[in-house]
Amino acid sequence: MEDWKIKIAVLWIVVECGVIAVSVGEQWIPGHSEEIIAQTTPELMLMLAIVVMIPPLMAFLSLTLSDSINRWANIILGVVFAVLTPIGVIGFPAAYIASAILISIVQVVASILVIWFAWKSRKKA
Amino acid sequence: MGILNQSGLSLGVECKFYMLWNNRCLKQILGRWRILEDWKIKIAVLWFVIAHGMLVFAALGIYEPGYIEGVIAGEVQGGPITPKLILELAVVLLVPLVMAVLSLTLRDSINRWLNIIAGAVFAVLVLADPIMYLTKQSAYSAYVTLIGIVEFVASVLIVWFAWKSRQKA
Repeated sequence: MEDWKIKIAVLWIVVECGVIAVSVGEQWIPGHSEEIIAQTTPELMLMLAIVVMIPPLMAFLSLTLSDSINRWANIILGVVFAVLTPIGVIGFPAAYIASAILISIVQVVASILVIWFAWKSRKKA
Repeated sequence: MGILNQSGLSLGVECKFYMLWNNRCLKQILGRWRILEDWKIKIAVLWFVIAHGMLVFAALGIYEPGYIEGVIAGEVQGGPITPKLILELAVVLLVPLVMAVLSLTLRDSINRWLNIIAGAVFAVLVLADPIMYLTKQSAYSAYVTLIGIVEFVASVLIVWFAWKSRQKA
């Protein structure tokens, strides 16, 4: 197994840990839980579950898929997550937004590194 | 050994003899892949063990009686919830995640020392929560101690794997 696949798998788990950290941590923000409960719908929960399950699935798939499809799946989903993650920060209360931004920076960097490692692997193929 | 010489790569510096039995390393010799040593992968996984311990502790804590009431009233673990506290927790959680990536990407020497230092720091840090629960003599100290022990062992293993890699370098 090539190095870039292992690195990408680890980076996807980093993205996933960030997602979980934000969703666990935001329950502590005073008054924020009530807001979330007020906005929750079954469709939203299903959508969140799909989005949240993508990084761990990609961690596994990047270790198992064949080179070409592996590379493109990682590049496409890396771009999707690099774009989606900052959008999630918007809903945070202003006082606590620094933590959300910090976590999302790590997630965006991890997504960009996924794209970078996947792209770079083309030369060696 | 003939095929190895034909591949145009020397076996001297990058590969050790024991690596010939390792499938990834053999592929690296025959192909052109750069080598990623096993100890780096092990350390990366151990950092995730620590990060997950923290997340599990945060997620399970909600089931403790009185915990949710405390959060609604604006306090957690007996202290007020402030933006500074959340930021500190975010930093402490992000360190293992960043270290997992760095342990796969950094150069050998700095990788090793960073892991030894960060591993030693976390070996102390992860004991803070169990000690707090045990001194309070909380009825819920068992699960925190269990998570703490797993995290502590993971930290010690990080230091150990990083230290042991010195011999092979």
